[in-house]
Amino acid sequence: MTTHAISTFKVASWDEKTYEEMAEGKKLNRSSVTYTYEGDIVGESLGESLMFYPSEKTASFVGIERITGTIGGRTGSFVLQGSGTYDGTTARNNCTILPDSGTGELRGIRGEAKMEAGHGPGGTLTLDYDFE
Amino acid sequence: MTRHAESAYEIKKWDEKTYDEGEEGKHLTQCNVTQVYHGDIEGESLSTFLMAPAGEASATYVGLERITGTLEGRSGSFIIQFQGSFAGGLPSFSGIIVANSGTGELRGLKGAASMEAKDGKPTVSLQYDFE
Repeated sequence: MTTHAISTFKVASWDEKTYEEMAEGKKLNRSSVTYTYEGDIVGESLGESLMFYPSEKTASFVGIERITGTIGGRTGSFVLQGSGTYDGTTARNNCTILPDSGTGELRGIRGEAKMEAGHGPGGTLTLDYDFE
Repeated sequence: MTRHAESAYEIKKWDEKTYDEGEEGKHLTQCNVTQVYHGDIEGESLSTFLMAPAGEASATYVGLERITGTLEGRSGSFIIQFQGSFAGGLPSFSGIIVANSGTGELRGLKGAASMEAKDGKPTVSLQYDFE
């Protein structure tokens, strides 16, 4: 049975660097961001992203994020893998829980997640998950 | 009209580091790989990806690759965004040519990208056209 979880997150630290400058103002950035989660997920995470900026204000990105904490009363960690876009106001990220990424009481967790963040220090993660 | 291009590549440099040890051996790594292409693509690339273990003998990854050179005679650069895996030691991925990534004569390039081993060599295939 799939469980629906909603959690809000806040950015605790954001480290972003350009690793390749390109012609016409385009660039490739790498970011390491730490988050804290509250709601149906309580915990923290480290997200690593690779981002392409075709212009100053928009980006597309891929990333993986390891969340450590408690969800539905179970404690452990798991990894999300996803891709998304930032349109200048909102970042949207569609993710999969990586098979075999669950540890501790979250071993066997699988499912899908969506993340949305506007301006400001945080956003919302929704997770639909079950266990193998 | 959509065109098909195919090019094998060689790895010139592979730089991999674990940035998160994780738990139960499930560490996360970041890779920077430089590659040289010969075929419908002539040029070089920087591929950057984030890798996680997925089962006993394989890994899964997402990444971006910037290719600079010529594509069937047009010169410029573009970016591929991909999601893939290593299964049985062989890499493969599927992905897209990122919108608005083309520069020079490759401005407006769009389409799909994939990679798999052909005759033992990793080979990228593009289905592309221009906006």
